Amino acid sequence: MSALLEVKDLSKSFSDKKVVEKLTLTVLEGEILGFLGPNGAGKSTTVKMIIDVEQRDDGEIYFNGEKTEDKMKVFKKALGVVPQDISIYDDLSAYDNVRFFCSLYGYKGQELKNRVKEALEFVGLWDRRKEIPSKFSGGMKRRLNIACSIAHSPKLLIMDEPTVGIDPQSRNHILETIKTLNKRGTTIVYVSHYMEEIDAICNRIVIMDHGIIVEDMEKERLKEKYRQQGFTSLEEIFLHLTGTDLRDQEA
Amino acid sequence: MRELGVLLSYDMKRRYKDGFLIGYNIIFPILLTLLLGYLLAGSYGKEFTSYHYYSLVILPFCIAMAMITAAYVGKEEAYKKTAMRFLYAPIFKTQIVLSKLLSCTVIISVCNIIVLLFVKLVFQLPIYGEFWAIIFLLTAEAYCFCAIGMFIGLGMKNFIVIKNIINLPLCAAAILGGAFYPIGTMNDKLELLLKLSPLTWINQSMFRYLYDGDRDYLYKISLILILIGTGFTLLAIVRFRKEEFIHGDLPGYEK
Amino acid sequence: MGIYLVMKNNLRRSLHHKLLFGITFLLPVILCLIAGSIKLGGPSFRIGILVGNPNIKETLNEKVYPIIEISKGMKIEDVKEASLNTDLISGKYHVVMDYRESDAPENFELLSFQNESKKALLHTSIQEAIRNHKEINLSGLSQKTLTATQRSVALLITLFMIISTIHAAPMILDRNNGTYTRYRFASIKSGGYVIGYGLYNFIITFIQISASILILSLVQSGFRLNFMASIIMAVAVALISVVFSILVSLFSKSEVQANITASSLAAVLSLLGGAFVAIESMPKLLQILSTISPVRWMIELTKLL
Repeated sequence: MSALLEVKDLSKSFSDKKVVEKLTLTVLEGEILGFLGPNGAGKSTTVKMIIDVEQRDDGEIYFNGEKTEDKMKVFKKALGVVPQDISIYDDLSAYDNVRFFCSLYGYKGQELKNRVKEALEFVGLWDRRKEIPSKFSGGMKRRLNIACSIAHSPKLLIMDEPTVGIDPQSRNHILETIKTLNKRGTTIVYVSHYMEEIDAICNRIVIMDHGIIVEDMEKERLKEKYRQQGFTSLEEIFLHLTGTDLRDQEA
Repeated sequence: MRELGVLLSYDMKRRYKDGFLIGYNIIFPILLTLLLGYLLAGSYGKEFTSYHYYSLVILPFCIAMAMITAAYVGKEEAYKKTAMRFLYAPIFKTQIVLSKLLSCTVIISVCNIIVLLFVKLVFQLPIYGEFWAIIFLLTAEAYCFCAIGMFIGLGMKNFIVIKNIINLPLCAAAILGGAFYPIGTMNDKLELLLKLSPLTWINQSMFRYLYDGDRDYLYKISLILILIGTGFTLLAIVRFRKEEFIHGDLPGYEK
Repeated sequence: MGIYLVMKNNLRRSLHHKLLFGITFLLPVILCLIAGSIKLGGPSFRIGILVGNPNIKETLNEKVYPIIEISKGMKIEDVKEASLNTDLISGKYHVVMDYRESDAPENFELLSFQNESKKALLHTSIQEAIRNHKEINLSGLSQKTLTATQRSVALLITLFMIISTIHAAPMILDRNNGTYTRYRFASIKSGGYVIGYGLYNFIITFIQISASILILSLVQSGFRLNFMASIIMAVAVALISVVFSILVSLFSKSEVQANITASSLAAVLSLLGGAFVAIESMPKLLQILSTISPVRWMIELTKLL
């Protein structure tokens, strides 16, 4: 598999405190990468720098072998992000939400309609398209949140804890959706604290702590490596690598 | 450019669905004109009535108050938590600022036309050929104040503090501009104080155009308002901060 | 206990907003000073003179200017013809004596947008004064005006209705983000919550009003209230402002709505209460309606004090 996204020596400090330090990471085309780390590890800052929401102090980001700042518009068109906060308009219908966000990517007319329909069908909300999200359950809002991010068919989809606070049925549906998306060719970076989700869907796992990457390996190899040391689950491996101290840093 | 069109049409939809904005810029000026006109009906003659006076001075006051609405429009995405989607979409900050600014200006200008038509018909305001000149001035004012509001909403770090007190200087400017009662003086220093209020220039430019036949003054004031508005638009774009756009209105988010 | 806890918690929260607290503290004082300074010279009747033929100027200098200058509360100035109507509309001049087509001092046209009977009375009074070389008598036209103290109090109540809403509006945020529900979980009744908020708001507003009154009494010569009267006034203004702001916040959906509604309502109540126009000059219906305005109550209270 070739590299879709390459991050080299990425650094960021907030008032002299280093949050991300010379981070290097590669996302391979077609994989589902699990991105883990305790609170305050620097995950969100890394993601924000990748998607150009946060200014980086140092480092370079390449997409398809080209620097993102040189081809920012191309990069942004190929990028989808599912934010942790549900980012939808409560007072616009489900259909209008997806339509508006998809139109920001340059789609119009019949193609726009087709994409909106496809995205809503994909997350199982086509029948509820005319309703406004304020009447939706938590799971439905999360699914709509995903639909808004995938309608433009991104090549790279970054999902930041997309299953927080929902019931097992909705979670299962979302995880199945992610697998299907991946099968269709979308590369996914999955940020989560739920180890069982990471275990269920990811090919490769990156664990970050204190602004650096502490482990970056294919899932099965990682599990095999730590099984020999007596850690049988991903959760145990994670705690072993990042410690058991409480993390109360600001997000 | 296409993205600007998409954003603008979406923003326009949100603005015209905003009942408070429409009510505040159509119903409120009409009611206030009626109330104040009635209040002072006995003090004016037949040629120029109190309704004529308030028809002209209340609109600029209400437009100035739209600065607060514009500041909140700037923060709308932070409120709705959708700001992040705008930032990673292939659109530019200039397009975000302009779409918000233009949508506010256009909707407020449409409201102005409706109110001015209403007062012209109901209170027999003697404006005929001058109608569009007055609308031009009021649109320039709407643009200027919306641009200042946009700068406050998108370009300033202390929005949480400013949003609460912004209406006080606006009310002071309204009093000095004669929005509630004509405040005249022959004292040079006090006259200077009155002229600190932009509403004084705006109101006087309309009086001079309609009752003294001085057209230049109105266009000069309109031009000044457009220039100030352009300055604040540029400031809003230059000072646009992604973090502020995302988190700017979250409780406890202050720098 | 619940009321006390709500009040204490909000006081603590407000201390985190030092900048806002500082600005809301200073702003009313600055605005009162500005507004007060507009009327520093007391009420005046401003007359403009418009001359067409320069030959008459000398006669006017001898026979008209001195008459107006000796008349109590009157001021006179030459008018710029280009902005004549604007100056009349915007109140720079109450009337303009037009000598453009005249050759005698008492022979002028009186330009004004005031009502016809008032204008006619003024015309006659000025002509008589010029003819008899006497002070102009405007007793027939005089309307009651507010004293500096009453005007300042009217402005204070108007301003604090707006400022109090700034302190009360976070109620809306509490309601929208669920903190209010927590109070209910802890079995604090909604009435107790509102009273607690009101008490906190009262303390802050009372301190701010007291400071404004103190500064006004120091810097504005016409402002006269003794110590006890000042305390009573501060309590009354704070109480009314707080009740007003809580009501506005309870009925508003968002902070912006509350702030705009408060400013607009305060402006209307101020006008209705006689802060700008004497109540006696209002139409009968509005005179009755003005009794609902807290601004009128405060002006009446100032008269009593």
